[in-house]
Amino acid sequence: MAYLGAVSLSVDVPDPSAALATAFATEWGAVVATLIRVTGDWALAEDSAAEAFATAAQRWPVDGVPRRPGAWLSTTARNAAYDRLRRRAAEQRALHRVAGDPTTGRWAEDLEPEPEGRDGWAQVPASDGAGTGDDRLRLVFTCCHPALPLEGRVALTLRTLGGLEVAEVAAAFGVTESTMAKRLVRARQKIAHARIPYRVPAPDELPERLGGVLGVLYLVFTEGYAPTSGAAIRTDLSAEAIRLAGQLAVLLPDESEVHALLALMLLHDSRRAARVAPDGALVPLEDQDRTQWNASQIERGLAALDAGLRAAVGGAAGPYLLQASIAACHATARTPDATPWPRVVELYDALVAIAPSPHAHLARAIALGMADGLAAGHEALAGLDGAPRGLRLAAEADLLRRYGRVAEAAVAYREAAEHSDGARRHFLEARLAELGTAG
Amino acid sequence: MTYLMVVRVPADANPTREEGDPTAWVEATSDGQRLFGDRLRPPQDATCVRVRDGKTLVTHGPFAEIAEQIAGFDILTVDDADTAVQIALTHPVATFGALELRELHPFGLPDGSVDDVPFIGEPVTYVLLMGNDPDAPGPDPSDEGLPAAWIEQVGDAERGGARLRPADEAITVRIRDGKQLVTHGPFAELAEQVAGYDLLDVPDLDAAMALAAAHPAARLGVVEIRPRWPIWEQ
Repeated sequence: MAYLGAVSLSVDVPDPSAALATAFATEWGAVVATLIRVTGDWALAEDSAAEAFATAAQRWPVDGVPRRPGAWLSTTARNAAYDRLRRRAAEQRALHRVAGDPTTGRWAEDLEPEPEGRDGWAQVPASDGAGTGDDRLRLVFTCCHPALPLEGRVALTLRTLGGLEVAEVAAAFGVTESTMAKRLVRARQKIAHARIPYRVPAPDELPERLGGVLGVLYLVFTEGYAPTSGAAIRTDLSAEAIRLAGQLAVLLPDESEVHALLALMLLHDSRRAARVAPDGALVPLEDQDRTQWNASQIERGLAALDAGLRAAVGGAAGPYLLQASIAACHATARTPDATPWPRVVELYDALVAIAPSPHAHLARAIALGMADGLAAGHEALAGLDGAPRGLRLAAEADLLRRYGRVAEAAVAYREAAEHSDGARRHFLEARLAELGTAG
Repeated sequence: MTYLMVVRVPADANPTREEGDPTAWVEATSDGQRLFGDRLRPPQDATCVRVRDGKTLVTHGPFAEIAEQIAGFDILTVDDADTAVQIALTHPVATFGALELRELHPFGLPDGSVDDVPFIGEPVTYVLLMGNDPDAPGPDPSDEGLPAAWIEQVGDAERGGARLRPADEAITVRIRDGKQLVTHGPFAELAEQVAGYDLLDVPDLDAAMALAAAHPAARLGVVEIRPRWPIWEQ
């Protein structure tokens, strides 16, 4: 019996470090979001949340994991914030006494409750109660407010919403920790000084503001997927973007584009293992070993796409829904030849109609070339005067190579490489070399 | 005559608290010459709003990246330009920055009246600076950019405002090494000049942005939103 008891005990009691990791991933944003609403002080909220998680790391292995970790963490963080505010008010009073200044720290006095008022101040919904979802949405929309510089939006999203350390965010973007810290301070100051409201936008503003939020998450994802900076140490930004998009999809279940962005990121990320060769070179989609694609991520991506399609019923398909649908065409094709090119062309047609970009036009031209023959692709490419020359030549080379026109492809690759630089040039030169060995 | 006095300060100016303190100047001009004025939050707290093809474009920062940024403003009602210059010369910022005097140029309203309410009263939370934008599309000939409908829309949140006479009619005042420097023309040759201002009392930036986007200047140029920064606040 004793033995059985021990077994059941080991099943019931979660592993503290695993529980803490889970709590961090699911509760950080909610804990910070509620503290920001209550105190109006972003730095205080972040510091107090960090203190609560540090306390948990000490206490949980000793006391056991609390039954409701989220509620435990938000109470602990709230108390930490209260202590910090009280200390600050006391320091300010001492300072004014020393300086002989009769005015006291106005805001701290306003915020600090009377001793008996503490209960009133503490009446904040626990993390599993109603309202925290709203707080987290408030935080999401405020972090991504269009009046903040883009770099500030990204920094706040990763630090305040995602809970990454300042040093981690700095390393991910290849800047020093003090630069990143300053960026965060400046963004928080603008929120306070320009009075950027802490709220979910009104329904008429929501589509545009949501577009801004999704843009920040996608930027974080692509920075992790196809880094533009040469940062040596990288936090897994793609995983972070996927995690935050997943949370947003739970908070905004009726928004098609949120599910669609999640789907797009999962479907792209599923190819991670196959898209880089052992020597570090990028492997193009049609040459990737499709057995290396992450099947469970594809499954999750397709499910998210399905949710996005269902939410879009009766409305227009947004740019992420179309891109995710294209990614799904590739993800579900067992071989490159099985790609449903006419369907891909259809989706690109819809995409360039609502979100024209040089890349979308080029991709559409290549898809057209695959669906309707080389001549059709050529014609579509020739019509794209607006696209950068390097990209257009690369697309042409790509199309020629796919049709086995090796000599012409080589010429186009060489010219495209001359018009490109960095990783892209490397890639084009590698393709050229491959053609050489093949021919 | 009524002037908007734009207080310009170079980013690297580092006056002592005493040197920059305008309290005495404010007291000296309180006999009806100065209607209102205050410090503005620095350029990094500014937000610009443009409306192009019916879409609202929001950017951060001021509309012109220049060395001498707008740090504050005052509205002066005086008999003539000379008096305005004399008042500007006594402002503490004259010794390390510049004071740009711009005469108000009120719009005629459809009902025959003139929109000349430079300042209605406190409280003011945001200052909208209407700016020229060299990249703005030329206005539709039928679009006179009159803010009559806007004023109606703003209602009680409007605390005063006006269009300004063109920048080449500005007078800029500085004191350097004890010498008074009064120049005609704006403080710098820029494509982006302040063309008007409006004082608002709204609860937050979203409300200010919505009103800025509705103003004709957002369509024809750019509107910069600067939070007021009362002088007593740290």
